[in-house]
Amino acid sequence: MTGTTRPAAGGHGLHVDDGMVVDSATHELLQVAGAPLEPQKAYTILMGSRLCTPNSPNEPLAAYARANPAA
Amino acid sequence: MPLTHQRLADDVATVAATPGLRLPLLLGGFDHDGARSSTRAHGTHIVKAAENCAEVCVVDMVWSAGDAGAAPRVSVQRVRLRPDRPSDRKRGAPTQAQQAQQQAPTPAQAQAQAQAQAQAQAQAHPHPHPHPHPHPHPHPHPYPPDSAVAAVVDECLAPARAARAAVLVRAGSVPVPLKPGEAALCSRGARERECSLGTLLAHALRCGALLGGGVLGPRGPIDACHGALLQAGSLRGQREFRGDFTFADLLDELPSLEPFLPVVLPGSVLAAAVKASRSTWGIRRGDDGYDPAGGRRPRAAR
Repeated sequence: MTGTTRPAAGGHGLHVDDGMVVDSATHELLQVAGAPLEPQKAYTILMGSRLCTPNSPNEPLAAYARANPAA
Repeated sequence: MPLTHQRLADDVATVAATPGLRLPLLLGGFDHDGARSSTRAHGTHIVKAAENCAEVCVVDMVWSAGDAGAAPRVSVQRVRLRPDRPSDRKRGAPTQAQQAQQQAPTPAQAQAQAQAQAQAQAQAHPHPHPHPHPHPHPHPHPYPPDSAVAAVVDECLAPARAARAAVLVRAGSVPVPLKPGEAALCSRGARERECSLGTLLAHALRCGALLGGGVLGPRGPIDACHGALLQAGSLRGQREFRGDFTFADLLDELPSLEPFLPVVLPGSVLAAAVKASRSTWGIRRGDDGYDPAGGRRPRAAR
């Protein structure tokens, strides 16, 4: 698909599945897979293939990809 | 005659690199804006039609009899197949009026146009269609579909039409909770807040990973994913679905979707990613409402 892509503020916002809970006011992630978030736990998350790359528009994911090229 | 699919600059470089071939014509793709990306360079006509079959280019190459070594005379006629849209004019594609003022058709083209117009007038419905247009096309063009080819295309597309009608979610049976303010499955405001369709599609992606017996990750099969993320920009419909949600609706919402992969990452990174991605959500962008790209919120009545 070409020609229909349009840059837009908010377009990089991430929607989550119904097992995740995000605080609508603070955007803090509270739950994953229906359980409280554990910051140190390794989660397997399905996402677009370009989202977790060094050039990702999402800076935390880009930084993680740069620091963990084998991830 | 080269057929390419690359940027105009690369097409120009191609003909510049092959001066000995004296290429009269190069038909190119990739660029979408038709006339704006067509030019003549190094003696070669580089011709590109507008995107989405909005137009076709009819090209004649005529060699003079008795002069085999001479370059052919090339003429290009742009034929609009769809009504003009404001976005086309903005992108530089010629309007129907502009196209009519472009290069005059050759005698052969004029004859073909006359024959095609006569054929179109003789046929009440120039092409077989399961739902014939009740009125003549408001923008007739000189090249109506060939009825035999249209019949084959119609037959071949029958399975695709049936697939598009398939119901994925029944009205009133949305498998995820609706968001505050929603009365039905909805993608409106997907770029500024959570919406039920965004959650549903992320849910479906995760279920696919679960029900598919595991997905193939970079280190081999992964049995399950803890969650799924979907970028708001992937959702294009800005609609509310009070009826059934069909496969056609899905294609409208997700006209393109990159491959999805499972990624293993710490919860802290996941949380930071979600929070950072939503930093612009819910921010008012002016007196007339929210950023239209993110879905305009109705203004309060005064």
